[in-house]
Amino acid sequence: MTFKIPTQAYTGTIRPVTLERGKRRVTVGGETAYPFYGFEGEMPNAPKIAIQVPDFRPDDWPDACLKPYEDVLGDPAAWARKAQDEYHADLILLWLKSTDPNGLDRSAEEAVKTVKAVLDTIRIPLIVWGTDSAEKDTEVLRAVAMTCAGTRICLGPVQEANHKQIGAQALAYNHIVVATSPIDVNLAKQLNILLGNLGIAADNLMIDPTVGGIGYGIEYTYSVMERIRQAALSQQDDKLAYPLLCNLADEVWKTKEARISDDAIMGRAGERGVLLEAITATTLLTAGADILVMRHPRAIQVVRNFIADITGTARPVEIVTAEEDSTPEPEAGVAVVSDLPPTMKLDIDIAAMMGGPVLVGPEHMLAVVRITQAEKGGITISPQAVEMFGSFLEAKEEARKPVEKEEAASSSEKREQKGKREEDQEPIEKTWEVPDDTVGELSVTFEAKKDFSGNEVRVVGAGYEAGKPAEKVDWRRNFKNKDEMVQYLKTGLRYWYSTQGYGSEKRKKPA
Amino acid sequence: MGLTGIQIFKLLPKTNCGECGSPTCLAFAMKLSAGQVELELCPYVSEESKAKLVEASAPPIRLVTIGTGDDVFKCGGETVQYRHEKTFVNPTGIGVLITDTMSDEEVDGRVRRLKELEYERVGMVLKADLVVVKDASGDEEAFVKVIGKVKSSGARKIILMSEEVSRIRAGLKVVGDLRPLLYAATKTNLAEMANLAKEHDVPLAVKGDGLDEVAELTTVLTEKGIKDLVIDSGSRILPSVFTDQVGIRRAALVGGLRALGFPTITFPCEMTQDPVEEGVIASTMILKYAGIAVLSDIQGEVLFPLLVQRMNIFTDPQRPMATSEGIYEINNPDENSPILITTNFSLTYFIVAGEIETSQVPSWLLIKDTDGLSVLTAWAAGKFSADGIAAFIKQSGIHDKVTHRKLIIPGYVAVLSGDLEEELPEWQIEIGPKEASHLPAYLRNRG
Repeated sequence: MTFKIPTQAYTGTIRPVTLERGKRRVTVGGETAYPFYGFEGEMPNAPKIAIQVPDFRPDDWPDACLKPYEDVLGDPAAWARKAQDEYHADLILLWLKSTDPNGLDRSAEEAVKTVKAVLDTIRIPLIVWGTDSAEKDTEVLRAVAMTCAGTRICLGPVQEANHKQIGAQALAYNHIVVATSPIDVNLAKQLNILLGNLGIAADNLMIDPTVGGIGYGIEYTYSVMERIRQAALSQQDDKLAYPLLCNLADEVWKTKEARISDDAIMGRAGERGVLLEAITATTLLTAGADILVMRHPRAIQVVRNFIADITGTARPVEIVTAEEDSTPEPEAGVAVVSDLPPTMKLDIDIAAMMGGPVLVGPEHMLAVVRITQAEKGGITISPQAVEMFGSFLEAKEEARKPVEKEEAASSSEKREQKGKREEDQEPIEKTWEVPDDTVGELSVTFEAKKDFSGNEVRVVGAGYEAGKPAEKVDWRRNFKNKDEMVQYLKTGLRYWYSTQGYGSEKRKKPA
Repeated sequence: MGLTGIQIFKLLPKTNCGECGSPTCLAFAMKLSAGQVELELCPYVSEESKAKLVEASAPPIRLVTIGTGDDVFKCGGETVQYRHEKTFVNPTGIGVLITDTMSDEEVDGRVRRLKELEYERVGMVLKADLVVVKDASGDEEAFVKVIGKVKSSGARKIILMSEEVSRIRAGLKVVGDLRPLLYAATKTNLAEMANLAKEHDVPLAVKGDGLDEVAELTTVLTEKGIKDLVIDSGSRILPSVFTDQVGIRRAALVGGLRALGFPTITFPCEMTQDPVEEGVIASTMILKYAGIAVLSDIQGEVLFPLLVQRMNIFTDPQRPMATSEGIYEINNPDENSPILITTNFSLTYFIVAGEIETSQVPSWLLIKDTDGLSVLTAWAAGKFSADGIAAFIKQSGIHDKVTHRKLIIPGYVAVLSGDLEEELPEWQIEIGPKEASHLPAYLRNRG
């Protein structure tokens, strides 16, 4: 006999949502089956990791998660850059916790400054996260949405209490919103419907089901997420067919179990925190998470490898600093790569034979290496190779900014910075162009007439063809059903400011 | 899996004799289907029908026990794919691997940690379950010796791991009385392993190369009358193991495939070298249906998160978890420390206690029994009312622990403060924040 897994009928697809930053696009969603059920459906976009960047100096975090960021504490822009460059974040989530009215209560203006600083620093998409205080978030996120006009960012949390205000801003500036509801399928659906009615497009919406950490209600989140996915994929509920964002970092690290120091029974503190974060992450992934908001680099690395393993793709190659290697050779070794996927090993052989840098894929290259830890698949990159990497990257950088070269008068440091920034913002400017003045292209007819004084003048003639259209134009025919019509009316700008509700301004009968 | 009343009715004699106590055969069938009566009550049902009914009423995934007496490990017996449908009943067993090539120190360390690493949470004791003794040396004497060592350490739930029948037989001489799980019957040793399991009446693990082979092997074994089986699909690669677990559960529950209606055993210890990754893989096995997950070692930092995750996933989704009523001391309070009160919903307790701890303000936390309901729900249900709280305060004994008479109540039940001041005239009622996350600031600023 040949064993076949009994099939599960799927009818839906999770809507893909694309986050952008310049040329960098990160798409999540698109699943056609339950998480990692690769035997009966697709997961076209692997789940992504957003690294959480606090906008304040987090003095009360456990040591284990302060240490990896000790050189950037209190500097959100540097923190974000480190998360991007060293810890390979797919996305940055900037947490505007300092605006919390129950905490530091910083102003929206200060928050906007931080957002700008971070945005100017990173090349990857940005998620801006508020404080759960519906009132303050309205104020802060509105200001942020306005400031980021032209750069598509992601805003959250959007609650039922402030969905109109934040939703309208997101709509106006084409930002993505994350709808947050308190661990409940129906409330999640309701908020999605409200945001849809407001006019938020389906590819601008994600769900935050609200996360509890291990020992703090993760089972509720787990089941609610499973039910959301079931409704979306097998029960034709397209109001729940959106990617799921899970903001787990703080839920894990604020618990007392992550804070207890080294202990004979509870084990080593740092590793325990990492495991708590990683297992919370895998639990949420198994229930359907598309974006995980995480903090500790080691947990992030483990979860990223887990995602690669379970989706059957090659693990991302992690560069670990030489001092963590058990057999360091300072004069020769600068970096060690461990746990290489088999496909990578072939590239290494080729690179070794070529004696110089070899392109192994878009944006990736490999240079001469010396196999040092054969049993672990480890390699050490020689200093010569690093130098070659450097010149290769520089050449590439130069090639990208021919215009900049002309400004050679300015200092090299400045030029470099500017070049970087130009590269980042180039596509942004294109996304927000002022529409051309097309009035001049209108074909108009002129009529010769006389004015009151009897002088000959040319006036613009009739702009319509007489007798057309033959029938009355009914705006309703552009829509298939009542819901669409109501939505059109609700979101028409002039109705936002009218006090009459929606429908015709002139009532045939008085209300 | 349950038959409907009509399906059962077709197998009954349809005489409507009434001797079973039900007026008609159809009524009896309905009761039978609902599990309210036993089939034995019907005197006229044919042997053939009886066999069919027994077969059909057997659980879709067999319940297998390892060990004897009160302290046994159970796996299998699951009836759903998703925990919100009905509870997952038997938590995935965490096993620790001990091989006969390990040094005494390594063996002793594992055995000791198995005993010592215990965690109490919401009145439940969490710990690893099983010792897996593996024949890695190929030396019978060494294998028997380490089994003896494990037994003398007090371990009672044991898995013997060797594909060599003679060594398992030797091992059974030492721990045969403990009803260990034998791992594993394979294509090559099937007949002999089967005899050994039957002879000693112990459960048997089946290892096949893929689910086809597993199903063939279990079919042969069940025909021989060996039904206490545990399945290993053979794969050690994460996506395949994951798919196999889902496939086995779904085949048994949805496809009604008896040949795979058994709990599974998985080996995170053979899937990675890194203990952190091992923990992460084990967490996935807990979520996706493994009966047993074997770890290469147990250390608190990995075991604790796994056990708490397992407890969470295997709780009854219908019933809130509850903490016991009483006075909880946080940050070493004294007679001047503030007193806070909240309900005994576990999450409420853990979150409030965690936040008070974070504040570093020494405090007394009073937990009132509200049948595991959260603050607002309990208030709405009348289980967190002024008179109830007053009675609890009076008999709690908090009077003797403090010199002041100030009580902080959750912000969400601020409405209770007036009634409470009437019920507890000597007390001053203060209204705390609505959200636990605001407690640290509140407590610090309270002075």
